[in-house]
Amino acid sequence: MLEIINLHTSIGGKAILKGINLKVNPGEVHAVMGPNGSGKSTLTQVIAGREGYEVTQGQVLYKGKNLLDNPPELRAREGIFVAFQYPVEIPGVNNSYFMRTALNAIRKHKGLEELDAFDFLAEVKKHMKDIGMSPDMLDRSVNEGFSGGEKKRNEILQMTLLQPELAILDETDSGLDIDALKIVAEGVNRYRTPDKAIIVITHYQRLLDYIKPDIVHVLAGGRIVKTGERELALELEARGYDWLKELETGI
Amino acid sequence: MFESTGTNAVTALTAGLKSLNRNRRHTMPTWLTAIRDEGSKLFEKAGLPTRRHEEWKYTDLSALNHKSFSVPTPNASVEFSGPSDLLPYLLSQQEAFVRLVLVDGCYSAQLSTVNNLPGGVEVKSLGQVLAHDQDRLGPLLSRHLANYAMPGENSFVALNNAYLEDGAFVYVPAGVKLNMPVHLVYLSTSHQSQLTAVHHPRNLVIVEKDAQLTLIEDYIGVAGSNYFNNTVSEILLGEGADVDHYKFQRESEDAYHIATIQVQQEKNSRFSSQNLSFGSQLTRNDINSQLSGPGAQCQMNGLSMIRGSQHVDNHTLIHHAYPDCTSTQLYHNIMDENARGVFNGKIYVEPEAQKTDSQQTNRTLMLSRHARMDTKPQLEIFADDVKCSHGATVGRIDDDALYYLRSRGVSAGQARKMLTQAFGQRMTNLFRLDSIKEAIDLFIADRLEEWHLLQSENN
Repeated sequence: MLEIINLHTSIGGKAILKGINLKVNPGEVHAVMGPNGSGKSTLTQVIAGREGYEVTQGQVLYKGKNLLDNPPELRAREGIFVAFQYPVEIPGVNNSYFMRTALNAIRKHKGLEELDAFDFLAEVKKHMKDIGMSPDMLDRSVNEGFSGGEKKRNEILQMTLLQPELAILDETDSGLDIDALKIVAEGVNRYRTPDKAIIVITHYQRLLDYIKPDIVHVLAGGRIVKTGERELALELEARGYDWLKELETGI
Repeated sequence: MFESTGTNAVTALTAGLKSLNRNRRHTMPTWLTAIRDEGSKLFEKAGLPTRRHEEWKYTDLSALNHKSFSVPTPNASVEFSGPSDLLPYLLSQQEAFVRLVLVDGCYSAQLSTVNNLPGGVEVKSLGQVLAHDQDRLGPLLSRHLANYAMPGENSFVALNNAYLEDGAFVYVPAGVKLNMPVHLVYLSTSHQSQLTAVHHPRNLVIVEKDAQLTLIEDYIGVAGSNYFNNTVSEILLGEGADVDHYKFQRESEDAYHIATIQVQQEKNSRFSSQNLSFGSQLTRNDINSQLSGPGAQCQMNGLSMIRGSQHVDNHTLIHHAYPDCTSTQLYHNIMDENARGVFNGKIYVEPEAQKTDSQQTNRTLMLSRHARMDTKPQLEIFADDVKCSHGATVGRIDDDALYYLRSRGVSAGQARKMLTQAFGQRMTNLFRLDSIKEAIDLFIADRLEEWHLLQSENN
């Protein structure tokens, strides 16, 4: 579904990603782990379509087609979703209205009928119950005054509502306590089906106890330095990120 | 740049005044004649303010020199038969309001619906009262009318005094809490191509001790009309009185709108003002409140939403002369294309006004690189035990917020509209009256829809 081929990016002349190769198929859950500054966030932002990142080499193909020329809204409508690490607060934009507008934009693109306020409310409340979010959150402005955990849950709520085919979770576990983590993980696991792909970007191994990945990649210095199965994450946790320096110099 | 003192405009604006006065002298009480004469003298002496005047530094009136003005006459250019004819111009189809309507500066009995007022409450045409109710209301009027807005300090007040004839008179007796809003509508229709019609609506609002009033001043211009509205409102709040005031300006695109609202607040009174500007090519609002007793509260909020080469200048002044008073000001501006905005928020705190709590915020959202905002807070504080703050921001649509919405599938144009609407709603959220808030939010959404369409044509 997603194919990243020799991707090099830079910001302000400084190279960040230095030749990323990654292939994600439907039904797979990939974990991308790495220390701070390794380029994890950049990878997310480039796939999501954030401006300011210059692609100096390489390609990103989504469902076989070039992704990088598309604006963010088109990528979302084609089925890509990013759960952000630091979701922005948007005072004055009602949370419910925002989600309904987004959902309908995506539905329209897929040739589906738009949901009216009534049907939307029934739908979203169902998902909120599963994730343990109070319906009052619908009346508030997007992420405004939400705690870290509530923001992350709001991201997962949007994911389950918008039904993307490729979901990228950018450090969804950061700032969450164990209970919130479990709920978020349950939300993601309920979402796993053979036609969907998920990329979990994380600094710590802990999340992967709950969202078990099929493949683990280790990102360091803008490159994927090692790829393996779940055990790789455990090994990384045990040895620490310094172990990567050995791996990096081995390339 | 030094401009002329607008002698052309002064002459043009006062032309015909002498003959008008000659015709009316016998019907006017002497106290009113005195006000008009003084106004006329002061205006001719002071002329129009130029950009050398500190208070008019950012607002250029020189275009008024090139206009030919027509003396106000009571003939409307549009025929109306009944109140339902007014509905297409109104924001919300609320029938339950008490409504006083003036068309082109003159009271229209056919369009007004002033029924079922509680005992003692007056909502009348000022002109009608001056002409027919002198015995009963003369003393009250002569005591208060033109006693608060100072013609010596503001030439437009002087000019309005010179032509003082009609507008609204609203009186709420002590203890009466009027739960139906009083809606004052000023509809302008003049379509003369060579002449600019000038109107000088004058309002006097008296709310006695512990009384309550919701008042809406609604200025509406028929599309394509060409006129200059110079309006003055004096609003007096007795001890413990509560006035919730709304001013909506939807003048025609070619119109000029200059307004002075002078408020006097006795102790423990509360005045909240929502001042919204959408139309007119040049708008100037001076909204001033004198806090004349301890414990008074004053909230002045505003929103302007302009584009093209529209210009909106809001000057506010809250004068804290007694202790324990609180005031807040929140003014938001949404500006597109080459629009220009000005905000000057003044707070004066006298030495006796201890425990004053005053907050001022001005925020501007620029939707175009060519718009310009001049914002100047002015705090003169002479008491030492006070809490005063001010802040101003001028910025574009938040990129992070825009990106977030787009990352969920919302188109860039739709996302910009949502964020602009949100910016406007941070101000309308302060409205005390929900029904009016909904009507205005809808109006803003429709307007954004229009603007959005224009934008996508140009892209």
